[in-house]
Amino acid sequence: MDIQLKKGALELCVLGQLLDQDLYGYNLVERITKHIDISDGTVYPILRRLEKEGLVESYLKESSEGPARRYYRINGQGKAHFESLFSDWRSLNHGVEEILRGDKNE
Amino acid sequence: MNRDKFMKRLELKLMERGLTVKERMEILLTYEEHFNAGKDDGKTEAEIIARLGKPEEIALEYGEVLMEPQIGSAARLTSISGKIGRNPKRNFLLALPAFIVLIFILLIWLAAAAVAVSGLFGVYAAIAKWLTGAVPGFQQLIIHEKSEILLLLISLGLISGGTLACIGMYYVQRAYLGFVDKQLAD
Repeated sequence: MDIQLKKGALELCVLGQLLDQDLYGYNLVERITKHIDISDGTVYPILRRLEKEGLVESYLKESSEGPARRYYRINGQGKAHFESLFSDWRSLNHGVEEILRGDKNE
Repeated sequence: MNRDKFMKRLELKLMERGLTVKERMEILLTYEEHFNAGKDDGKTEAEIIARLGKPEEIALEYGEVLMEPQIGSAARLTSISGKIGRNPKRNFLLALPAFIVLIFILLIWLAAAAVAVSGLFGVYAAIAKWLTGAVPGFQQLIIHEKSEILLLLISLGLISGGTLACIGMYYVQRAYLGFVDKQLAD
């Protein structure tokens, strides 16, 4: 998969996963790599970037089993960014489908 | 590769990418946590490592995410000055000793360079004396017979010592600028 396309898509997925609930790193990574073919290890840098851009925040939460875990939470700015990314994504998807369908009919 | 080796390798690669100590610590903690969570999830170390991907790849991603474009010493100084401007009272106190230290570093630099240059002259004098019996341009210089070899050896020592000191000071200066920059950033 093209690396830039993949990065944009991954950012969208990570933000999307956090919309309904806060997740800890491992859980979030599992949810993404279950569906998309990338290494577990490369999801964390994306989280870090989103955190640095001020779209996602992280906090430590005690866990029943073992030490505290770092949870990630999307903030208002992150939600707005998600909406705009998602709308871009849909229109791109739509455009690609139109083009491909058109080509086939010709 | 086991967990320990993976973490060591990741740390090394992050360092090579030029991430700060603070960033590296946080990142390493993230992956330690990933290992722990994976273990709680019933995965073996080998499985977790296989799924994590290569440390090189991970470090590359972080490098792209976190590094501002590589900046040289001059740009660092400008950025330090800029940061002083943001909080003049506090930062000036921090920056004043830094500038004094930097001047010292510069002086040591110059001294080391002078030592290396004097070595170059020594080599010239020794070879000239050996070939022609005199040192052209420096007739008044007296070098005893058969002492050319000694002079040559000492000169070569001066060159290598001076050069090494220069290189050393370059790293000291770079590390120090990085340190000051970080102090001001916090």
